[in-house]
Formats: sequence, C-alpha cells, structure tokens
Amino acid sequence: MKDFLKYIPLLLWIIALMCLLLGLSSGHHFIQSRGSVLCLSCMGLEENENF
Amino acid sequence: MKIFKLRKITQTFSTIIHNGYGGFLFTGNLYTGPLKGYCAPGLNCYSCPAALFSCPLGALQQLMISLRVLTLEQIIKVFFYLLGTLLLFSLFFGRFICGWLCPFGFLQDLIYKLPFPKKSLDLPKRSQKYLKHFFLIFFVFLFPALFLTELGYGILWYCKYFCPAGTLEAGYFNFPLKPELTQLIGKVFLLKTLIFIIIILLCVIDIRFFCKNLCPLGLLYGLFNRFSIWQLRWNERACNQCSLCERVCPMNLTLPKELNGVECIRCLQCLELCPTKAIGLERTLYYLPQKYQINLSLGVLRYEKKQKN
Repeated sequence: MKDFLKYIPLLLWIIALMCLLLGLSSGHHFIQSRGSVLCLSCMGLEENENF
Repeated sequence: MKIFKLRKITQTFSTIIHNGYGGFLFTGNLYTGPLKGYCAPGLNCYSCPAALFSCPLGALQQLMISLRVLTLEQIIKVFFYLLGTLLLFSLFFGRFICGWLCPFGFLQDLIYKLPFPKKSLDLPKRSQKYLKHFFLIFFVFLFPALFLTELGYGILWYCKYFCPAGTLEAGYFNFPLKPELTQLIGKVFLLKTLIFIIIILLCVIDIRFFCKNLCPLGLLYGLFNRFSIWQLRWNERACNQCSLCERVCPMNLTLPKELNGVECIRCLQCLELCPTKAIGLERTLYYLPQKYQINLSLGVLRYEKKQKN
C-alpha cells in the first residue's frame, strides 16, 4: 500500500497532462470568450436591460 | 539573496505579469487576445482592465453557470481543461502560488505593513476551518449551477457577492475608464464594497486574513500541497526546539507538524529564520505520508499537549 501511495503524484501528473490535452482547444476558446467580456457580476453591478 | 527579498521581487514581477496589458490606457477596453484563454495561477480578476489572463475561480464558475446551455461534449472538454490547468498549477507549485505569485496575496502583505495594531484574529473554531470550504462548495460550484436566471444561465455567486479582488480590480479600476457604469451601482455593489472594506481592515490587523479564512482558490491548491514537487523537510536532529518557526509563520501553523499541510503557503520564513537550518526544501516526485516524514518529536508532543488542554 505504501508503495502505491508513493506514486500518487506521478499518477496525478499524467491525469493533469491528459486532461489538458483533451480539453485544450475547446476549453481555451470557452475561457477566452468569457474572459474577454466585461463581467458585471465581478464588478458587483446590477444587470440593466436599458443600459 | 535573502528569501524575503527574492519573494518580494517575485511577487512584484508576478503581479506585473498578471496585469501586463497596458492597451486599456488607449482603448479603454479589456484585453481580448489569446492569452485570456489561459488561467493565471493567482487570484486576479479577468475583468481588471490590465488583466492578461483569466481567473481560475471565475473560469470554474463560468463553467458551472453554463451547464444547461452547453452540450455535454463542450462541458466535458472545458471541465478537462480547467481540471488539467488547476492540477498542473497545484502539482508544480502547490501553495507556492499563494506565497509567491498571487497578486491579492501580495496586496495583503503590503497592507499589513500599514501602522495599525496587530492581532491574530481567531474566528469561532469551526468557521475558521470550514469557511473557505463553504465558499468553494456552495459559492463556486453548487449555487452557480443550481440557481438560474431567465436566460438559462446561473449567477457567478462568488464573484458577484463576495470576491474582494473583483470589487477592487473589476469594480473600482473600470469606473474611471467607463464612467457610465456607475449608473448600474446598486445594493450588490454596496454589499461588495462593505465586504471589501471589512476584509482589507482585517488584513491590516491580521496578516493574510483572507488567505487563512476565505480564499477557495488557496484551498484548492492546498489540497494538493502534499503532492506538489516542492516539499518542506524537517530534520529532527538539527532542531533545537526553539519554536521560532511557529512564531514567524504568517499562517499560524503548528510546526513542524503542518509543514506541508493544506494551509502552508510556502512563504519559507521558517526555513529562512531557523537558526539551526532544521527546515529544508526538497524536490520530489513521490508522495510520502506526513507520519513517515516526521516521527514523534518534541514539536509533535507539544502540539498534542496543546490539543488536550
């Protein structure tokens, strides 16, 4: 059991790299599209249709 | 070079990189280029006019609010992307990010230097330990996914109702650029401003109050502190039990028991000030449970005695 625990970080590294590769294109596009718009929620402002 | 000095330089440099877009001075708008598709490691609002990267907490909430409008394939890919990014940050840096890279952590270090009475603030026992767990589970994950607006999207609960970095960077820094936004100021903004002022005041009194009690991003990184490649080691034979490490720890940790614990922000003050150099920093790709790293020692016994009392 102790031997298995020792390799947890290596397993996590592999999972991290695989996740990143699988989601890179769609994820990057999604985050870019959301991060490029001024976020009224982050500012704490009320949404207003007339604005 | 002294670690303190190196840390200050790194924090300054990191804050500049997090907020390295100067184009807003000419256009008055946010940066929209390809770097915005990547998350920065620290807590830095992506709606700050100078922000080059996105905020990991904001990105997580963006995914949660969009669960009902994205296709399953999109959800899975974005989830993988964010999981991979956060895991890589955690495994490579752990909470070094909090101590060395986070712009909001740097701000807290700076304002703590203001001349004002200092005190270690202890919230009621359980809330101190679990407040950030509450914010992470409910404000970052559950509430944004569960409570929907008429458009089918959720609300960014943590950003909208709490995040002090957002209030400062997105709120106050955008008003001079877009004065028309002041028309939208309402109760939520006043609430966020109140929260921001209270947090700043508490950070002036107690060092890193926000990191210790309220930051869900720090919690996420902290969960992987024991698996990150940088690990602090304690040499029992060299230790003279002076407890200086405990006294200088900004996170009020019980050392050496919590050296690689969830709350250790890796500021390395203990390492720098230890008179016998009993604490060291090592690189490792393997995990060793804490009980094998630190055998029963006077430090641990003292901790257990304290717990009993």
